[in-house]
Amino acid sequence: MGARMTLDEALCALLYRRSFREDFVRGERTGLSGEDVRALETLDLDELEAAARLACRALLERQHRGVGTLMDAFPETIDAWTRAHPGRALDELAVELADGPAFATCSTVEACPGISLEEAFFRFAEDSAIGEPEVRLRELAVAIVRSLVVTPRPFFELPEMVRAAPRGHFAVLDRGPTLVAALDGRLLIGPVTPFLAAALAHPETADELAPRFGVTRTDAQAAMAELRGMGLVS
Amino acid sequence: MTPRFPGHPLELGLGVGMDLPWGSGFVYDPVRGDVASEGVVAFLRRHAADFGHLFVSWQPRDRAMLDARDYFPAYDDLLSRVGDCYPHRALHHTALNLGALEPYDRRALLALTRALVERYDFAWVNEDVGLWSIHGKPLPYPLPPYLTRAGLEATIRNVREVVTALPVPLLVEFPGFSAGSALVVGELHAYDFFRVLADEADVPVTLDTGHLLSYQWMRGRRGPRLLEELERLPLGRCFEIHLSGCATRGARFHDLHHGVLLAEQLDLLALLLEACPNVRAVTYEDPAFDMAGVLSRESAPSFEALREWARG
Repeated sequence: MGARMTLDEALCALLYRRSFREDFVRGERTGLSGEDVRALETLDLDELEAAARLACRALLERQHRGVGTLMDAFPETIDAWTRAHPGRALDELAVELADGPAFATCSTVEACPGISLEEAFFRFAEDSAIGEPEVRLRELAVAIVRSLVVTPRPFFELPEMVRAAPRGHFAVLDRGPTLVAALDGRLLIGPVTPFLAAALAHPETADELAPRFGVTRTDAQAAMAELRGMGLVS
Repeated sequence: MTPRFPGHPLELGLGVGMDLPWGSGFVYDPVRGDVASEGVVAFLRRHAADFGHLFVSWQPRDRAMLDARDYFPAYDDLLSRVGDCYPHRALHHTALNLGALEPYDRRALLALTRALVERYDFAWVNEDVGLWSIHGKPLPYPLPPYLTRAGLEATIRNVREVVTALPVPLLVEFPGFSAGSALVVGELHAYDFFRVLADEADVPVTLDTGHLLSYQWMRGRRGPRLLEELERLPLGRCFEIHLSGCATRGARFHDLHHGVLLAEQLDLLALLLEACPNVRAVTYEDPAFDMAGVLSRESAPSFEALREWARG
């Protein structure tokens, strides 16, 4: 606890941030007004602990249409955490996720702006160095793009790596390189040439990029026409 | 003041409330798209003669920007198959977040709600007064509102905002305090909070028997004392009474929605019916049934008790 916080911020933190909850149980009240301290004194701490455990666990089990749960979206990253923490239940991973700064920026309702739960998990995994960087980036890209197949207009903020296209969205992963796209309600995942990866990132300068990749101007124009036909660039 | 009550039903009677989660209440059919599950349709048709009204719940289907047209196929399917049996219907909301203290932008939600009300002729909208999410974070169970002065003022503001935006009455529902949602912040008595809210926002109310009992249970009351203090509730504003399956296990009260009512819920129903002059809708909420629409054996006695009351 530190900076001034409101009663709703405190309740949210008590439910989701273990470190805050533990401080509170120990009697720490810094940052809360006297009125809010009195209001929070009515909390049953056993109920709070049970509700917090349930709320955190639900983060891993919450189903999102088109994607499934975080466990479905990040199987390899979560498996890496499990292998690195033998004997620890997945609940512990959920508690760590909820206690971190990335989770604070996510939202599961349109009424409050924020990033997706998947991106919050990805950022948490980055900060905690869980699994392999390329693997978790791929899992994030596939999860978000899968989500965009069924919800092309999501209320959550998209990760920087996912770009809007005339007929959907796409991301290009360095590894391969690999294109992950949601186009006209269909998921497309496959390797692309280094030139196409660069051209998708900077379509307006594709002609200039072509020589760097040993691609002729004619081939570059043909490739861009193909991308336009697919609805990836305008 | 007399609140604006729903226009229907005109006579006191028994109805049914259906929670319709995506994936079980509403399901995706590869050919037809979003449709009502066969079990829901079978149950509602089988028991059409037992119920005079129907409420259906609304839950977000996915993470798309809210657009009522995304929800029409599922509700169209349900009401094209059972709507003729249920001319009096209502919408149970799950996202208005009436107890929120933090900024909560309801504009898209209210536009969607208006569209659903107009398309399906819902006579009222209701929602438990409480927190359905907090700062955009999901909650496994809705939590009670902040039982503080500031919490009450915020809830009154939120309810007024929703009332102004809807073409039909909003019924605010007394929240639950059962295991998992018995997080009480603030010292106000929840019955007093609820009465002042209803009076200040001038709205009709729904009294859920399980929610009322769970509050008194949480306060350590047992036996006949569970049924006390009803005079602190806005009884004159009560239009609807909910009964959903509840159970007690050891020291904990569970709002299970499994169709099996506690004897105390039926006792409380009898008291409320005597004390609430404007009640018109008694709703059996979330009955348990199989895919053929056959009620579970465990909940049959509860249903029979309600049916007997309805027969007079």
